[in-house]
Amino acid sequence: MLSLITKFKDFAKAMRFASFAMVTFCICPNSSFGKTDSSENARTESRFKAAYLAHLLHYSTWAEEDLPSADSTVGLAVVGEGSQHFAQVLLFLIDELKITIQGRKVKVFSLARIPDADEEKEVFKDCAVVYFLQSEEDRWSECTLCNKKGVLAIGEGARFARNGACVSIVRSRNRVKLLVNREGYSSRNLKVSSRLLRLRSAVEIYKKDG
Amino acid sequence: MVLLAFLLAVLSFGQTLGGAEANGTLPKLSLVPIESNEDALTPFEKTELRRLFGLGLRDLARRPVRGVLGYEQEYWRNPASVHVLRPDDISLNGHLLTVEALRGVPGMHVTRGTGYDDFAIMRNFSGSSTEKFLAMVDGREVLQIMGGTVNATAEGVPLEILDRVEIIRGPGASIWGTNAVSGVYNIVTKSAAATQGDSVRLVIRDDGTFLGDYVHGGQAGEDGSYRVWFRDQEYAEGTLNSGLPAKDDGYFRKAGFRYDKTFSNNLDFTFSGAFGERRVHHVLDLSQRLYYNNAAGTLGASPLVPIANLPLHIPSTWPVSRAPELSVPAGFTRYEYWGEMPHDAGHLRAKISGVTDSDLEWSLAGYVEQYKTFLGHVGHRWKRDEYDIDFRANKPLGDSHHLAFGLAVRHMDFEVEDVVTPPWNFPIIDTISGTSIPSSMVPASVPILNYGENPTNFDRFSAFFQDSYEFSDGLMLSAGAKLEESDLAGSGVQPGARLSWALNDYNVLWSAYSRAYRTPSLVERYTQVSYARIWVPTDPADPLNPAKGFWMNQSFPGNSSLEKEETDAFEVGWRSQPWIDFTVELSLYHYNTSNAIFSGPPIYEAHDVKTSGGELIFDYRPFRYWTLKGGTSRSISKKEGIETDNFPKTLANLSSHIRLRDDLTFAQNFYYAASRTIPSAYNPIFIPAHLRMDLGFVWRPDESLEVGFFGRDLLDPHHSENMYQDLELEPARVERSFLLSITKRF
Repeated sequence: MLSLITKFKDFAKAMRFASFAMVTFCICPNSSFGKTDSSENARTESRFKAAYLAHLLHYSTWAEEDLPSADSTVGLAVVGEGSQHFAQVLLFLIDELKITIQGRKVKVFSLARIPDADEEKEVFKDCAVVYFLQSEEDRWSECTLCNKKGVLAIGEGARFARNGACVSIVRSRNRVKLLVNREGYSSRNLKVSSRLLRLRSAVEIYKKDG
Repeated sequence: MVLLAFLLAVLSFGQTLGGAEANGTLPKLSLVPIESNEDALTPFEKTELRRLFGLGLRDLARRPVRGVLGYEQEYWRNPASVHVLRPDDISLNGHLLTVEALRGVPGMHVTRGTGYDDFAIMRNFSGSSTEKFLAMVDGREVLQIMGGTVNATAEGVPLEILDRVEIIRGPGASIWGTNAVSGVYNIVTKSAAATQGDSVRLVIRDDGTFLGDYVHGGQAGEDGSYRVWFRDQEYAEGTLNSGLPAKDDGYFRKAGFRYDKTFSNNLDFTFSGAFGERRVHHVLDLSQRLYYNNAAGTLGASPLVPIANLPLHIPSTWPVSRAPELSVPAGFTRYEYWGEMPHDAGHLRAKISGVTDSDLEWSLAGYVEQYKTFLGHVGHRWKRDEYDIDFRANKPLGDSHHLAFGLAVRHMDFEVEDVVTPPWNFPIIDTISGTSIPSSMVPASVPILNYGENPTNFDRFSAFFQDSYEFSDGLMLSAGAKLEESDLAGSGVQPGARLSWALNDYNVLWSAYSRAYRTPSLVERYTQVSYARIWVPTDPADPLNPAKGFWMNQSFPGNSSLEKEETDAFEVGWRSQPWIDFTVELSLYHYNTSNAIFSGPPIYEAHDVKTSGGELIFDYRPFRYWTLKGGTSRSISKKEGIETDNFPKTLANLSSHIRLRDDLTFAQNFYYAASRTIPSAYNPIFIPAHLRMDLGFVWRPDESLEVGFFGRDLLDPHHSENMYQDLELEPARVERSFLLSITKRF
């Protein structure tokens, strides 16, 4: 294209070419060249969500009795399809920034899907944070973790917070934001920082009647 | 060859690493512990994660997931040569002002004139006008159209409110528009919510120059926040090259405010403004502005002899401004006139922005500005009232397209007044500009600058459209054009196309073509400059008798027929990050400029100029406690086929920071500029190559306190860098200095 443009000696010709090129360019189909829906856009979104989650750990407080002893590690589980990539993204931030949960080292796990009710307690027994990917949105209501104390339950998509999770990480209007369910926090014996709730540009507070 | 071999080595290294991807399988219904895997994420991804986390939640929420290519796209995929300065680049390197930190941007040449003037130029390609790039503060253009320069010192903001300075090397015309020729720099300030509380920054230099900033921020209602700030800068008097006082002492005071309100989750309002006044003096060296017409050869071979050697001819108004008996340059007595150079400016900015349910992101901004100044030393006064409205929007379309478009209107009103300054106030015979032909034989007083009855109202309308198209995850093309209709630049289309290609997880190639315009300044276009006067003896038998002759004016006119400068710019770049702590970037460019404007008697001339060059930049952290950043650039410019020498052909900088303890950093900075010549109609001045070394320590015991101590220009006691060409005869010294800075947050 560059060489073509350089051949134009006449400005008007160049402009006609530019107009034609732009029109052609804009009508290029969205699905051409074998582009897949996942890939780079999804990875970009994952990075935003991981950054949010890393911040969120800082703004949440656990009751000491709900955490293992101070010299133990606490678990953070990523649940859903593609959980391993997101878990790696998260692990990088946790290692890089030396993120802890109230002084305890964080161990990251992944899990392919929400376990059945009888398995659930055993599977998540050392986890203080469970992050549900969007693939688990439909099964979330079956998860009895909703009631377990000391587990910060976070999900991708607004339905998680609406159905009892502490926080939803939501993509809306080309932005990523938080939907916080204060009841979700209190019912799990967790506290959320008022500083976080004051960040109106980043946080929306879920109200049952709203 | 070495560079090529290095490039190939890094490319192949990237391909080797790229093959090793994490691919574990998930056992069903049991937690899989995730172990740290170096290859699970690419270095670009890791860097991006660091950056996103570093933004903080408030800024993270404002950042679009899919940005506009070449504008707010993730750094590593950006098909442009982009550099971002952060507040740490200023405070950790011992810079007083933001403009000084541009010394650390490869490809930029920052020079000091007098104590209050820093000039920044980028990718030299034409002429002697100081700035041919677009400078903005929060989107507001701050390029002074009168002289085509940026008053960078006066446009500075307190470090505490500075978020970043985005520098884009090369034209970004399709989005930024006119004057974004050799590049763009945009100072972005923090939101009011990000500067809550109080902070004070005090900086004092050993010569007495002082800078004090105070910032206060607070809440205004549930969804609003505000800040106010004040700056006081006192300039100590410097010294000219000759050792004479530069008379550049004075002060600059500025106050500003910002109010931000979030009306709903998706509608933001900002109202901000700043008002500043500067009181300084500026010297006009008169020594070589009066000449003796030596056509008869009475005083040797030279047809014109500076009158400074002939005191009898010095007008009676002059002795009061005569400098001490020092000779500048050798053999001439210096006569000078200095006048006040007040500067009063203020602006208001209002912006409302939002995102619709369909991801259409939009903003509407309005700016009002008034700028008043008086160049007392040459008697040129002007006032500018400016009004701007700017609408921008962008929207992702499907998975592959991202549209950006906008409209803007600008109106400027000037009031210009030229007065005859005291030393110039004696009768002369005026001439037809650009010639030695008398226009009238009646003696008159003529000001140095004369804007005359030329136009003073200017409008500009512009619109841009850009689409970015992702062919695949690694290949993206952005194309667009800016259309402008302007009283100064006429109408025109500035198209641009940028291509970004991720070769693999470690290497990105990009290329770009842009056509960009630069508007001639009002001085270049409309102002007559009376630069010298010549004593013409009337009695050949008694040629040196001051009573037997008359003064004749020499002037050159502005050139109202000057077309806009048009640049076709071709760029290619390679960006590589083989591992997270090492990034290297190479950018190459070729500019083909027509109608490039060069100032200087007898007229403002337009020439064709070709410029080629490139920058090699690296960012390396060999250990967790040591970071190294730097780069080098090379630029060759040819005016009508002849190499120019008014921009250093080679620039280089190296910045090293060693963390001696968690709270103590040792900073070392080196800046190299090859030789150049300051262009001047009277006395071009050769500036030798110069290497500058700054060393400093920064102590940060906690987040609320920072103390820095720096020695700057430690390798020599002083050197010269710049002056106002065609108005001065010698530059001021840039002297070795020591600087103490204290920042306290409450």
